[in-house]
Amino acid sequence: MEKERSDGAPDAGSRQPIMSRRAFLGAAGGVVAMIGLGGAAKALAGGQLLRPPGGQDESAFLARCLKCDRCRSICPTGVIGIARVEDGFVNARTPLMKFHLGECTFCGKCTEVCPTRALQAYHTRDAKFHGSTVRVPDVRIGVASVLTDRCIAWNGGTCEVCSKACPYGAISRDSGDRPVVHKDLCNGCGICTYVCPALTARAYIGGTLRGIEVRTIKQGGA
Amino acid sequence: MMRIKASKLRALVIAAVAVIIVVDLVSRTGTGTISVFGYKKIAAVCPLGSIESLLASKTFLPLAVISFLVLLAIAILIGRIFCAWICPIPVMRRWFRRPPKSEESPAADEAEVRRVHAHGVSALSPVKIDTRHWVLGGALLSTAIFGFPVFCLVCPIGLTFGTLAVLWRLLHFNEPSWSLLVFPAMIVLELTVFRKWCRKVCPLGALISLMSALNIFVRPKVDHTTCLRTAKGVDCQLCKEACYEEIDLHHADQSQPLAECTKCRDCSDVCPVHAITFPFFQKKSSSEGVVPVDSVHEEA
Repeated sequence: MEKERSDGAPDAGSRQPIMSRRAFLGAAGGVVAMIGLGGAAKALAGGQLLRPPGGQDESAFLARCLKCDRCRSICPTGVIGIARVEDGFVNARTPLMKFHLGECTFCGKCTEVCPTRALQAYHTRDAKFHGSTVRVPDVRIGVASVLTDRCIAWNGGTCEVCSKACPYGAISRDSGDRPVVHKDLCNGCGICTYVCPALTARAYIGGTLRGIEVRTIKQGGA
Repeated sequence: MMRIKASKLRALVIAAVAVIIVVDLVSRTGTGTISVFGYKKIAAVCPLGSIESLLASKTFLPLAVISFLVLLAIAILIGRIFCAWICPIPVMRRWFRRPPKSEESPAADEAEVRRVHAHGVSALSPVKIDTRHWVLGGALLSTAIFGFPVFCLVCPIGLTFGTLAVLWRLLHFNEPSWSLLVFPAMIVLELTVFRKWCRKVCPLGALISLMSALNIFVRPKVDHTTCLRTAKGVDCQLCKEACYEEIDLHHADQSQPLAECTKCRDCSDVCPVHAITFPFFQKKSSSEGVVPVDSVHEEA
């Protein structure tokens, strides 16, 4: 290998190298750092998160999301939050659903403002449930599941808040008047979590989970 | 007319941009951040982000492509203004600045000066490959391999507004996160380890200067009839020393290409005889650096 002059000065008697050693190290360092960063982030990727509607294909979502914050900002119910570095380095700053702050009405505004289609457009049809019109989407954010150790009704109390709030009739009550989710009817809108009073009524149980929580389709096994 | 220093004016514009973004953070306007800024479907997408999302998803994303082409047209028209007038990093960069070392600058050489006059800096090749371009290539390669926008993870612009967003979440929703420490720490690390981040590392700057290679308007112009160096033969280096992008309007072969010019106007500000202007239109006959031969300072 030809020895290069580190200062890049012309070497008398031999041709000047195309690149000085310093420039070569800078170039190699830049490329290696970027490949290393990508690999490390991939290796340390967190688990699947609850994404806004249209972002359920996690690898397609992560490929396109530029973390621009527009979907979170425009959300009328404020249900879209920001993933933290604790959720995985790749996920930091990406949007995720915070059903403790609101519910998804499938208004479509977040998919509209996403320029890279990280949140892919979906369709809704209007349907009547208990006399009121609701938007039924052709996507599912996730699926609700009752936390039987936290739910008031499952622990001897009387509560029917979630089953009454569900616009899709996806929560019925069993013979003991306890809520049961019909996974095929649930689209993960999260209103059940939003209205669930378990944490306020049973403050002593600690933690941050309510009596019913939305899980990703993978975790929910629907 | 009162002259406002260009650096002050830039800080004001950047602050105004930041205010618009913070308003969006705390309200529901949905206009977005610098990464993507717009109204409803009409949006300017970060050009690096556009390419990254296309490469990572390996799908055609029309809005990203349209945005890229529009930004390319803007870069061709008015050049790399983003880097001096919108990006918040140059403002922060100053906080981590080391006292400048006095560098030996080559003395004015009559032959060299005359040569520059004959060809002008504009005769330079519009692109000079440096570390930033390799970081850009590495970031795009890594993005294609691993399937997600890799540079976005460490982009100091994204992290700046990410920090503000996380701070707002903490104050408004009592939602603590390590992000609030990690994001600013990453920015500080980037700007202290690479004190010349914008010149040596930033792939977005590299991309925008590539897009500005054919820049037509708002190019710096030296009036060689008043310039101390060319008209009076004084060894004045003030404009060269003021230029962060290492453009030397008088030494074509030692200068960065004019595509790197961010139109920051620092050179124009420091010139004691106000010989440097940034005219929007420029007649081809009086393009950069070219002066009639008879006005060249002759000796012997």
